[in-house]
Amino acid sequence: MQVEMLKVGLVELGKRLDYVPLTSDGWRFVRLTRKTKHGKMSDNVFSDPDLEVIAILGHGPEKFRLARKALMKRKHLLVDFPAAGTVEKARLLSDEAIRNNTLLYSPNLLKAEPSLKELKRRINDSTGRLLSLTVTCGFEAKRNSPEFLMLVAQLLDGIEWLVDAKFTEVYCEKSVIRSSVSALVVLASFDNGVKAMLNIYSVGENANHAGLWVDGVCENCVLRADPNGQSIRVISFRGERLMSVNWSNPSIVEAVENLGMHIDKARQPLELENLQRILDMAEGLVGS
Amino acid sequence: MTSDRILGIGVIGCGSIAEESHLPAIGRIPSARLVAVADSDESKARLVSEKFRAERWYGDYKELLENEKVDAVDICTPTKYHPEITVAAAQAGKHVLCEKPVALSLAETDRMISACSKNKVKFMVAHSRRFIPRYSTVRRIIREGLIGEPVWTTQISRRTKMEPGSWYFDPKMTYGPIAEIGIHDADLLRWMLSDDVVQVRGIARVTNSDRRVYDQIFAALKFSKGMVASFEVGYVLPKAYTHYTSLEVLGSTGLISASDNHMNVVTQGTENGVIYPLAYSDLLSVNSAYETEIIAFIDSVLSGVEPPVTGADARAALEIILAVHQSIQRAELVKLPLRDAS
Repeated sequence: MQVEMLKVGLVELGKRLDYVPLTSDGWRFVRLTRKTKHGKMSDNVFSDPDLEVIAILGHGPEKFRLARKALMKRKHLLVDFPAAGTVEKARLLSDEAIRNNTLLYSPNLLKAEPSLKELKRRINDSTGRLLSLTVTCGFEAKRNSPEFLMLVAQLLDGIEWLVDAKFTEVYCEKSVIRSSVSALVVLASFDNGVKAMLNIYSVGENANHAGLWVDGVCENCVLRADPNGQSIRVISFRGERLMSVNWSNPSIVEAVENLGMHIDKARQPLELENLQRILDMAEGLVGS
Repeated sequence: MTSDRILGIGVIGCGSIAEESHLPAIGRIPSARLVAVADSDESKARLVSEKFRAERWYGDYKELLENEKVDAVDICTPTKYHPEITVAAAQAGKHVLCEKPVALSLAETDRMISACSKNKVKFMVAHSRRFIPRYSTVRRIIREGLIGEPVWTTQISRRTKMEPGSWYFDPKMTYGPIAEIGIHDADLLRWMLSDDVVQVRGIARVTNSDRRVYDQIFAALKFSKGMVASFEVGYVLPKAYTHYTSLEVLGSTGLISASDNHMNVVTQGTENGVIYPLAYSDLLSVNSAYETEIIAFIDSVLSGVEPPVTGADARAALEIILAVHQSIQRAELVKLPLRDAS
């Protein structure tokens, strides 16, 4: 007997760090658009009755409108963390999901990204205490855009997950050059003693400069995760090793499979309290 | 070289920086003659003298300063002793090349600059990274406008963990890696960007309880023209891994990325948005910096021109580092120039 595949409508906003396979066990993607960043998507985009789930990856001006539209069309929704640029909007989405009896699931896909997962696993396993993280992140979005704020919020949430601790002190220095390119330098401390240096820059529309690199300095080794290159570099007392994580499941596979489990069980509530805290912190960094 | 003369050099301090870097470089320079070495550890001075074929060795640097064949001194001692030796050398009429950081305070630095000026001897501080082709190439790329106006830069300088007994962890001798390594980052930033720092914030930690100074430091800097920078320095690498450095500079139309472990490239934006990756082989090279540096010093002495790294340059770099150190201790933003030179 042939099992019916779960059909997931995929909306990609902005540059992705890992690749998106079009099919996996029990589900397949239907790309609804390749690029919605600049143009408005048609309201009919979710009209296919066979689409049971909509996945919105990344952040863009259309994110909230599309998310709400998907829920109104009674689709289950997987939307990258943060679900929206404000807690008010996130609450509206949550209410819409309840009203339409659908699932609203908003995981931070950075936490499922293969090289970052491997970095975290190694930090926890055998590297000794984590001393610091140095993160460099280039975004396509303009610094004063809601999209940039959401990207920073996603990054902050992901860093807390990597460090396994909460930010206790954050200091930010911003560039004030008249240019479409701008930068923030952030120094941070965590409640477990770890220090971090975050370099976050906006390259406007220049997607080739966008990306993410994470260095973890541990007691016994230094780790460098390069999600763009799908690799992790390990520098230990035994020498240096570069390992590919291409064989790992991309983040979206894990997210869709988790969503499938949530559909079968209880609803996944939005963690609005954490969302508020992270968005406030991001706004404090990005705002003037 | 602009002269056929040969400069007689006396090296003061025979520790690792002298033995591994300065003395071998001096031996390769035709316009340099190693006249003498001095170290408070006499056995060390004698051994180094034999190894590098110095004409004389001394257990007291003051005796070296009396040697008339010594035209210039190369000071390779721990930072704490730089001011005393520089002033004494200047008063003895010797030109001075001094290891970085120039001193532990701005007041001492001013005293060193003043003594050299008063006695009409050249004073250069050994900010060696300026002489590494990687960094001079980055500076040239920036000055040629290839990446537009600089917006952000970051540097990482990690060194291997050192033994706790080293003077590098003695707060009476140094502020630790912020002074010994961070001074490179401070000097390079000013030099490459041709701009001055107006405010800094630093955070730091002690990674091992046996360390008496902060051994891992992070700093955020703002420049007068509005660009921002960050740097990380520390003695944190596994012992077998001696050092790792990386540098990135983002401009309004391009990005420079140069590190020890990765491909070194410049990407440049154009008016129609196309990005061209450009590779620069010079970005890979870190060799021969000490030789180039000492040749530049000798050249300035023999031809009478200003050294490529002046006392004022070294003072400005030190001021940034002192500001970061203050910021760490006070847990607050520190603005430059510093009010208290001591």
